[in-house]
Formats: sequence, structure tokens, C-alpha cells
Amino acid sequence: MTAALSREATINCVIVALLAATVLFAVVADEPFTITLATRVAIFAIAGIGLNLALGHGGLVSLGHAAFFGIGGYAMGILASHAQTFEPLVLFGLTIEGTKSMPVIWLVAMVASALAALLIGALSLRTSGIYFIMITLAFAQMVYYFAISWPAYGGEDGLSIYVRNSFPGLNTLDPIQFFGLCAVILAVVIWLADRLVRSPFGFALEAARQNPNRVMASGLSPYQIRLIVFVISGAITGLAGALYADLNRFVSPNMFSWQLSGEFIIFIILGGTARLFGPLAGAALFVTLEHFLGGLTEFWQFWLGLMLLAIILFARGGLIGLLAGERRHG
Amino acid sequence: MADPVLSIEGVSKSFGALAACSDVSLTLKPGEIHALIGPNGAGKSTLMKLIAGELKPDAGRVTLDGENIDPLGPVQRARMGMARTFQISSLVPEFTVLQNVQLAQMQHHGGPLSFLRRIASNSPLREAALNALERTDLQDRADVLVSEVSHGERRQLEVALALSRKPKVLLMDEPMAGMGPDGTARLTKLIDSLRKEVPVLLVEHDMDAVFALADRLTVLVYGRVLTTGSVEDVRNAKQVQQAYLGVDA
Repeated sequence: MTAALSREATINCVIVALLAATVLFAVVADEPFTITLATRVAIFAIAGIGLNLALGHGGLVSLGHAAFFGIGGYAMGILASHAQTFEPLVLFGLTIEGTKSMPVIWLVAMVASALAALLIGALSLRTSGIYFIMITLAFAQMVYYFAISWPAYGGEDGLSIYVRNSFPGLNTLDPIQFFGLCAVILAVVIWLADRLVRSPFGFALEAARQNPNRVMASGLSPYQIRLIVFVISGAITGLAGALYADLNRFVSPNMFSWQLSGEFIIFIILGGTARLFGPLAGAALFVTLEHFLGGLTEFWQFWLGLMLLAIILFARGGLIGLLAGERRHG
Repeated sequence: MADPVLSIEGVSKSFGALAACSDVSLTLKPGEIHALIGPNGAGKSTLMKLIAGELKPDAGRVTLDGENIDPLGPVQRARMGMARTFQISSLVPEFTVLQNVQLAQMQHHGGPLSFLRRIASNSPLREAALNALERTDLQDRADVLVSEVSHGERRQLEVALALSRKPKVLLMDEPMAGMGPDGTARLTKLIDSLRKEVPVLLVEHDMDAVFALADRLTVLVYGRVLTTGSVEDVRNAKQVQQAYLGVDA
């Protein structure tokens, strides 16, 4: 048991080392685009870790997490665009100044996506299985079409932010500095997810995934436990959305698209469901494939599909499961 | 006479045209084992689900400790001290035996709303959980995964989990189901020793166990109470013999 665990820890270290080596190489060789790709990996990994809490640990297959990613993105877009035009935002009679400060934007993004997750979760969690998948998808599609038809913030065309938002003491326009920022957030999110999974809450969540009846007989509410993890999950994915918008300096309704929700699930399946570093491994693999295979053939997604099929059929634990072996609880 | 801990008054439940329970009343007094018997389809399991809050009755009321618990769902009833063992073992398969006990006791040990603290594995909590296992002779199996223990051990664990919650009322739905003679004998002894600790409402098909354990019996036939009384009363009641025990009167 400890051998398998430490093997997983070794693999996790290798993944982090590979990412660091890639970035180091990019800095030395002066290839800023590679740094951008690595930043994409880090941000997608954050979104994936958020989803993994609900999907991997809670057994809640949400096909609507792009809703939270997009809300995080639009939180950034809206705040930054108001700061850009020096026009305050008027909301329910309140006048709010726009801002270019990343910490403020992150906070707003997380609160907004957490609230959305509370609302969507409160309704969706009354269902389960395929119905849960469909209803989360339906909510995300609602937000998607709302964003398309909302002209104030660019509608279908999206919203460009000309200068990346600021973080005290950093020049965020420098790719390596922005990558560093995202990597630190990723590390914090990984640490939080690890603590959460090992906490009494994580224990109850795991039990609720395996046998909700037993949880109820223990005087605990599976619905409440799932709703809480859904909100935490949504907030983390929303934070990733704000970072993603800042990476591209652009937000559009595509951030709400169901393809993106599907990609988050793919990160998890590729990397390993309910594995701490699974989403990072999956996102890294996905972005690498997209970049290299996508450069070779337009039909790279065909090969991705084959790979997914192979993993689902032969390696249910994903990349990390394949290398680290069976996971044990306790 | 002591006030009943649990009382069911005129409870009815229909599924479409089928009346699973009609106008059922029974009480569970402190210190007693009350057995609920009846042929298959008599509505015993439905009644258990109505008491546990898994189903809502069409009519009637259920009170626990003098408090009407009709509006409460199964989670709140469990929180109030209603414990149950399931007809088909319902455990967390990828948890160890001990972890299942820790889950059962979680409500009394700070609850699940602690997010960053590491769950205690070596602490007084482990002691408490181990003590709960001792009652059912499972302490040596504490660190084995539930998916790897035997059927009999799972049945014992069901009882251990219910007891570890220090319940006010214990609902047992066929605890002997699928047990061999040894297991049945051991479980009968255990349930017998519970009487002073917690009143038990017992649904059971094993008549030897029922007659050995029950202080009172309620016979349910076609969703109705046929009779309630002591083991002797029920044994001698003619209509019971006809309806259930298969003896020609």
C-alpha cells in the first residue's frame, strides 16, 4: 500500500519536473509560445482539479463545468472592460468601479462561480446518473446562449482586454512571470484538494459516492455534502476561467461551450479519475497532443478518441493509474 | 407502564391499488424487543421504511420519544437516534471495517464539515470505533476492506454500526438473513444482550430466533395487524396459526 502510494508520489514529481523542464527549456531557447502552452496546461489543470473533486471524488459527472469556467472568465472580462473604458458598472443601483487587479478579479470570479454552482447544484443534485449529466449540460447551454445574446459585453464576438491585468510586484505581460503566477496557484489548489480529500469532509464525500444510503443512516445528508463539493468545485473552475481569460486577454461565449466541459472530463479520464495529479497529467497530455498531433493532421481528435477508448477499456485509472497501479483507500 | 419510545398510530401506505400497510399501530417500549412477523408481502419492510422515513405514509403518525417525526426525513430521524440495520447489507465497500464505524460515528465526532483537518486515524476516535467493533467480535478485522470480509461479518458489522451510534431505537430488518446456524446463534445472543441498552423492533423470518428473543410480537397479514401480544398469546391465537404458522386449527 505505501509502495503504491510512494510510486504515485514519484510519478507526480516526474510530471511536475517535466513541466518545469519544458518551461526552463522554453526560457533558455527563447520560445515564449511554449511558455504559453505550459500556462494553458497549468490553467486547465486547475479547472480539471476543480471538476475532479466533484467528478472523481464525489461521483458527480458534471457536463456543465464550462459554465463556471466561463463565469470566471466573464468576471474578469466585465471588471477589466469597465476599468478599460473608465465607466463604472451599475448593478442593482450600486456603482462598482472596474478593476485591473488580479486578486480582486479572482475573488469576484470565485464568488460568482460559487454562487452559480450553488444554484445549479441545488437543482441538479436532486437527480443522479444520466439525468445529472444532462441537467448540468442544460444549465451550461443556457448560460452559453445567454452570453451570445448579451450585447453589453460583446455578445457572440466576445470581449477583448488589451492589457493583461496586474498583480502586485509582477509584470504579468512577461510570459514566464504569468506562468509562475499560474503555477503557484496550481500548487495551492493541489494542496487544498489534497487536504480536502483527506479531511473528514472528503471521507464523508467518498462514502456518499460509494453508498449514500449508509451515509443517510449515519445521520449525514449526502445532498448537503454533494452540494458543498459542487460549490467548491465550481469556485476552483471559475478561478481557472479568470486566469484563462487573462492568458488570452479575451473572453467569448466559447468559454461556456459544452466542448470545453467535455475537455475537462477528458483531462480527468486521461490523467486518472480521483487522482490528485490526474488533471495535470491529463491537461499536459491533451495540450501536447493538440499542439503536436494538431500540427501533423487536422484529424488529431480522431487519435485522441482512440486513446480515450483505449484508456477506458484497458486502463481505467488513466495515465497515473497505469503507472502507479491500483489505488487504495485509507 | 413506561411510555413507549416509538409509537406508530394508524399508519397506512398504498402503492396504487395495493394497500401495503393499512391502519397499522404498534408501540415499542423501553427495554423490549418487539418482533414484527408475517408472511411475505405482509408489509413488514414497507412499515420499516415508513418508520425510518424512507417512505411517507398516506395517513397516520409516527412519534419518537413523544415527538411527532412525520415531517422528518431519514437523515433527521437518524440524527435523532433512530438506527437501522438493512435487510441487504448496506456498507461502504471500499472502506475498511473500522472506517465504516468512523462514518457511523462521524455525526457525534464533529460532523463532516471540517475541510482542512486531516481525518484522525490514530486517536481516541479509533479507540471508540474499535470498542464498537468489540461487541461484535470484529476488532481483529478492523483494517480489512469491507469488500473482502465474509457475508456473516458484514451482517455483524451492520449491527456494530447501528450500535456505535448509541441509538434510542434500533430497527432491524432481517438481521439473520443468509446467516448459517452458528452466525444465527451468535447474533441471537448479541441481540438478546441489547434489550437493556436500546429497544429493538425486529423483523425476522427465523422463528426460533423470534421466539427466543421477542418480548412482544406483532403479526402483520396483508398490511393489517392481525394481533399483538406476548409470544405465548400469539402462539396460541388460532387466527395466527391459520394465517401464518400453517397449523390447521
